[in-house]
Amino acid sequence: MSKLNGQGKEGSMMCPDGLMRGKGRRGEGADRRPRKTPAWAIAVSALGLLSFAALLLGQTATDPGVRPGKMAGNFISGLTTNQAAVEGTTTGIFIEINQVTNTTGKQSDLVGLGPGFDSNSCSSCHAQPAIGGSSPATNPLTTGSPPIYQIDGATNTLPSFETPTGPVVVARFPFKADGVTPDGTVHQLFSVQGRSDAPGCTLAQPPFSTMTTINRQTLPVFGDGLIEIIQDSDILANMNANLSQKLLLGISGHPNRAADGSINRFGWKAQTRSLVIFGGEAYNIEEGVSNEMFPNEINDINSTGCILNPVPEDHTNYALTKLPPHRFPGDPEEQAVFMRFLAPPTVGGCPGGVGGGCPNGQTQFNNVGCVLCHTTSFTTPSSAIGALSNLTANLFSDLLVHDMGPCNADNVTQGTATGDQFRTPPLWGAGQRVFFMSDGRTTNIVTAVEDHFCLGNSQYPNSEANAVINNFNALDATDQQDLINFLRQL
Amino acid sequence: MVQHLKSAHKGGKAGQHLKAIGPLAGLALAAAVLGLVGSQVLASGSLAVDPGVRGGTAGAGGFVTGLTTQQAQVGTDITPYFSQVNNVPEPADQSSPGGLGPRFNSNSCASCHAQPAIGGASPLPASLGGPGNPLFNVYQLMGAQNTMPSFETTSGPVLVPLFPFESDLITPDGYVHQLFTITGRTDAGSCSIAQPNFTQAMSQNNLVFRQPIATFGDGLIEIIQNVDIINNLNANLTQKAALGIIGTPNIASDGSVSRLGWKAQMRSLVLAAAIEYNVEEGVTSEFFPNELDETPGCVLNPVPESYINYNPSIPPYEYPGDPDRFAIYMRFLAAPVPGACPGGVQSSCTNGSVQFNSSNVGCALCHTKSFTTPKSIINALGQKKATLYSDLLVHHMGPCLADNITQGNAAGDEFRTAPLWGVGQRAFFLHDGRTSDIVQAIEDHLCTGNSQYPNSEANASVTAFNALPQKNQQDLVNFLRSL
Repeated sequence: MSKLNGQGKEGSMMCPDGLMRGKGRRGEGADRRPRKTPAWAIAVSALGLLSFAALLLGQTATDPGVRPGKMAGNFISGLTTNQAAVEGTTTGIFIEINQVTNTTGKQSDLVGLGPGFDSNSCSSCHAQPAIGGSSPATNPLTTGSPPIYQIDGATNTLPSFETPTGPVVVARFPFKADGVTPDGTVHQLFSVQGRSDAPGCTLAQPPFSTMTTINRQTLPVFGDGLIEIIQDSDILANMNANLSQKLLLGISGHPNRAADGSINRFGWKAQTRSLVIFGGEAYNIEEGVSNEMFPNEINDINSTGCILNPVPEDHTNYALTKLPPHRFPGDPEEQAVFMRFLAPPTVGGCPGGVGGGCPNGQTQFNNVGCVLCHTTSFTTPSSAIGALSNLTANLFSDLLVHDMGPCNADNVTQGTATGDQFRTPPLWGAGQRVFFMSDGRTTNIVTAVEDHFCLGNSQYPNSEANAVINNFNALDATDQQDLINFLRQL
Repeated sequence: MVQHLKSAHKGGKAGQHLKAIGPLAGLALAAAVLGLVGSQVLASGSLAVDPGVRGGTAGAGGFVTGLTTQQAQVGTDITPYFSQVNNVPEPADQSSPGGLGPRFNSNSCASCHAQPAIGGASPLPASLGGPGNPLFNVYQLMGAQNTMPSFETTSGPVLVPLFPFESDLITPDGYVHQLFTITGRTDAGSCSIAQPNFTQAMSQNNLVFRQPIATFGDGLIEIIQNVDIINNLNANLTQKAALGIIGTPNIASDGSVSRLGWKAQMRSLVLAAAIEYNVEEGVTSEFFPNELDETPGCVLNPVPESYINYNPSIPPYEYPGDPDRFAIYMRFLAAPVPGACPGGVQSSCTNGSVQFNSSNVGCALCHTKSFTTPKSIINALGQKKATLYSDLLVHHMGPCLADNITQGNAAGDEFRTAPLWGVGQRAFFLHDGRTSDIVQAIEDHLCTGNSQYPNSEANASVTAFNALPQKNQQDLVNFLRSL
């Protein structure tokens, strides 16, 4: 119910009825357009009268809201007994709450938090609709007494972009303080300064109020065990399929590349190759826990007295007497196993009930061209994990990055993904997500669709989705609503 | 004039230097400043002679002292993995090493990381008593139909080929294009793929090389604090400015300072091992799960090929896969130990070290003598002085060394300051192994900029080196060979 309230709130803020809200959306777009009037004027004339009429009419669909229930969170079926046996241990690693040092007499291996951190456990942010998921409806950084950022005496303040009803977001500075030199890295929200288990540590929070900051929200990991083994050749074959349709709609897309030359596929910009590397990165970035992949504290540069543990803080267990499955090199490997074994989200009932039109919605999804980027499925190759082999992964993504226009650009370049390019987010599980787009700017999936539309400027080209959004807006009300219902069914 | 004659000395590169003659007024002035040093200097750039690869006991290859009993036991257990020879099939129980290909450069880590001990650099040629280029024993194993590219020679370094650009010669590529394929091997089924067209790439001037880097002491390097690297970057700024030295860190995906590899493009040993396992041997792992060539008939194992063993009854059940084992092995390898001064006169190397560190010559401004590691979870690696002779930063090295490959922050002409510990026992120098003469390697740091790339940051240092009296030059070279 609270989720429905959240949904209703946004709806009522926008407008009481769908048509008006559609106009509101256009009005919002108009707010942006005057900054680049020449490009807009040219583009509008190019769009032609038909689509201009569609712009005026706007979309008429309503977001049915977050689909209830838990359609994700279980291990995939078909694991061997030995594989399934690691569920308890690896889940424990994913939900463990880390502290800075072992000075407070807690469990000795739960150390390493900070000096900078965004949260203190994986599952605090990967929570919706189950452990491993996306940002919960209530921002976990704002709950608890004390909240995460003030536990054990920490003296942090909450940056203004974190709100109780908003998504949990991390912060990046596109540029260094000179406003020119590219930065692009995450600047952790909080410091362990003041915590009783961080004696002597001095580290200020980043100057979020004075620095240009962009945000990214949490991505769910369900089904990522399938995504990480999809063959590069299949991704490229899909990129090169339907070229005439793509050309007609202005869609191209390209892969981001990993250090071995293979196709990267995780993260908002497809900047990460595999779950274990993601685990290693996120452990150091989000929680400040150094590990064998990323052995040093990021904040050893700008802190004093904050290097409180030997490095890396998470490491191989060399104790030969300890029984399995405790012999993994470290937490990122166990986190990776947990994520790898999480089943993809399950499709639910159509939000409109019987006759809700989801089959027609998928037809419209395909017809207007959504599917040209949000590729319905890939098939995994034969895998060392039999349960992940030769499966159809209905992820609704091409795993490529696309230009999304200046309205969506975050000015952060990662690999071959430039400041306006983002990976096509997989849509499986979209029906149970609360927040949409890279920065979680909206809870309304209709707005999220509309936000794909953006005219280019001198810096960035048009969003590759523009023609598709025009097609969507030109659909009749039933087809639009069916398409939205289909998305919320996922 | 110095530069021009040096180019002639190096034959094939003369044209490249001639293009730079125009803006060489400064260098001519430098030559004038050098004065009448004699024609011998002008012919070679240096009066020093490389005493050659230091013989005697390998000053590397053992594990670091001070490991706990359990750590040492794990080290012993995982040592064989670094030398294992991979074939194509990977048994489901991983009971024998598989996963080779479809494309590969070699079939074992230790084949290329060999000098002066396992974990090291490219093997010595037969003329120096070594096994020679190991690829000649690998590329046609089990019926493989590969031909040997012309740039691999029995007496040369192992070279890994990269294409700076795609075939349009515009779109950046920058990846390794593996030398060989498994086609024809009796364990490779019907896989049928061709080797890359290196002849064409060479004719298009779109082929660059990198040689193996020794891993001794990398367990110390991977934990040096970012803050220490940055503080060193910001130290001696006046001296650096006077010599034209800057340097910049390459940055890893977590925002920390990346530090391994010719362009400091890799953050840690476990990531390096995983990257190299797929790139060099074609063995997929949980880090890089897919084959780099997926031509039908060539993906012969489930992916990934090296993975967690979940069965506690099959030892070794402890580790996710080979890259973790390789990483532990390399992490435990001790830093190289300096040997006797070549020529047997220790005072020569003592003076050479003084010259190397002098603010006049300034080698040490990039080849930073040492860092101290922080406390480590491996006590044996914690709070140790790592005498690596590198600042772990990347520097502009001029168009003569540029390989036109961008990796992270490192542009086409930027390379990591190569750590010099163990350099006394290396046979080949610079990223592409272009010389086995350490004096030539010093001289190759000198390069005038062009429209694409600026001057080498080492120009003033090398010019100062060339201006030293012969004895000081020789002492400096002897010092390097003592490392």
